[in-house]
Amino acid sequence: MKAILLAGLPVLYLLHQDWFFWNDPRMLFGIFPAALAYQLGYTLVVCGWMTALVLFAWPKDADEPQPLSGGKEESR
Amino acid sequence: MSASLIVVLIYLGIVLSIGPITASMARRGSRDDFFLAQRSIGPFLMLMSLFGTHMSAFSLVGSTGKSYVSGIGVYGLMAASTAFSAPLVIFFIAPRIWRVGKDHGFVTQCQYFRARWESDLVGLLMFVLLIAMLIPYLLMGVVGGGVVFNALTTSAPGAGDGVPRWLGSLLIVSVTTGYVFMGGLRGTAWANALQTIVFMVVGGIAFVVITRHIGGSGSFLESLQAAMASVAEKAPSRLVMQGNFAPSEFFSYTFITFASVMMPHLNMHWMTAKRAGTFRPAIILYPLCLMVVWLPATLIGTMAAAELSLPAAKANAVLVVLIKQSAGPVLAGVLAAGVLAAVMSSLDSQTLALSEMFTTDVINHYLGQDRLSERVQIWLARGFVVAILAVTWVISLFDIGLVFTIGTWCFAGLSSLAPITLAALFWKRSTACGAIASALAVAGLGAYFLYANYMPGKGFGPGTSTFGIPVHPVIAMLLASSLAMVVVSLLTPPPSDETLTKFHPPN
Repeated sequence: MKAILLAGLPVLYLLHQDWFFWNDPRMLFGIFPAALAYQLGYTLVVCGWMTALVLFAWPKDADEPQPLSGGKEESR
Repeated sequence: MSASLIVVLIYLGIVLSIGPITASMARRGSRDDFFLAQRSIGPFLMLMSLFGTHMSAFSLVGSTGKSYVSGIGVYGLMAASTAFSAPLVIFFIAPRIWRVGKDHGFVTQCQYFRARWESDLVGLLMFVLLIAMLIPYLLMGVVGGGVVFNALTTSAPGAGDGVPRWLGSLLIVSVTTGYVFMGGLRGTAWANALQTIVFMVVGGIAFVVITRHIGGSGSFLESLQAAMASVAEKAPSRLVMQGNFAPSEFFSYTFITFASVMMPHLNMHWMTAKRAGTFRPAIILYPLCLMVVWLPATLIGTMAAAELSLPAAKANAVLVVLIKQSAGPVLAGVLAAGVLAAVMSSLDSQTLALSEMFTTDVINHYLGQDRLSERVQIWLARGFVVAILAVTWVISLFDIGLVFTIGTWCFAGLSSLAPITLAALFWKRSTACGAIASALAVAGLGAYFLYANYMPGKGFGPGTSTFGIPVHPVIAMLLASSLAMVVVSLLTPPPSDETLTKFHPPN
């Protein structure tokens, strides 16, 4: 699942480019021009994708300290 | 004094009071509390403060102005692409920066770069570059604040009466600086949370009020349909992408939205997290929050194209002009206060980031942490912040162009520096010389493109082409920065094994 979610990110990125409604004058519900409706739908898909990333691809050891890390304030 | 102005001043008074209240919650004079809130920020405050910090005058004043000129494509251009890039940056970068900061006691990015590559020069160069790029970011807020005050109180845009822009800018800068200095990061985080809620709610109310004004009576949906039908009749070009953006230009803007990797004020907030899991709600909810703010703003700007006849150069004032036309004086004051909330919610974190960087990367690093008391350090940092804000305010007195355009140049510079953070975190073989070459490539190309796009008397142009190709210069800057990092790193010796083990421990 994690691999699919990560591999899908470049596709999701490319889908942001509106290949479909660039010059489409139609209006959805008389409110949203086609190109805007596409981008709104895209935003919702991204939201779902990010939810899945957090649920299935969140690193289990994210809160653990790194091994062999140095002490505090070392760079000052 | 008009009722609108009184309402706005009352709101500023409320915001100003947050500083002393939160200061009383903190250990007095503690540097860790002032800059890091003792790394105790939880998920709700993290989401609100990250989003509030990220959204600026660019998101309300800039987006409505740009939509007025270029139509509905502005939502896809910035909001939908940020909906993709910002959560990804929080997912992949923020927990790692937080981890590094917590494990090694870092407060700023420059500290990390200096230690990661064992080079003072990298730290100094990044300090100068990040400060230089924070100035246009601050400028958006300073210009935006002045525009709101002026447009709210003038009889007509450009009429010359009302609160002068310079005074409005000065007032916003003073209030923001006031509560940041009194409350530190804790005060800023709470002020961010309050102001984020205010500008999201008030933005929604403004959308309804303006739509009813333009679309006429009936249900809200009927008003909205009528308003959009009016755009289709009077300004149909605003409803499609064709003619407003070149497809390649639209694509190139997606790179601009990766600026959040490098924004010092976002990095500062990342370091305040209680734990890595604190970021999870922000990753999920960021796209929805963006939609809540940018959809109404884009539609308002687009509807304004059929309603107003302001010249494009006055597009920054579109939102407040419509608010004034659509609401009574008191409601107009409330709505304008909401716009100022968006302005201040970024300005405050940038102010604090400036202060934090100066204290850590200049005072502590070059003078020594123990030679001055924490209190003296904080006061020196305040002096530095006032100096930078004064410079920003002076620049704002000139015609420098649309808020949206200033924003895109600033973000282009920051996103072009992203290879430096990415290399520090993920590429063991990267070197100090690689980072320096990368930073210099951005500085050189950035200065060149800014110069090439400057139009005397009008300010900076939008950067719609690069050497004749219709893409934003961000692509050239990013390519040069990445190439410089890779090539120069491969040609120069890496940091010591001890440092590499420290920052890239074997699993």
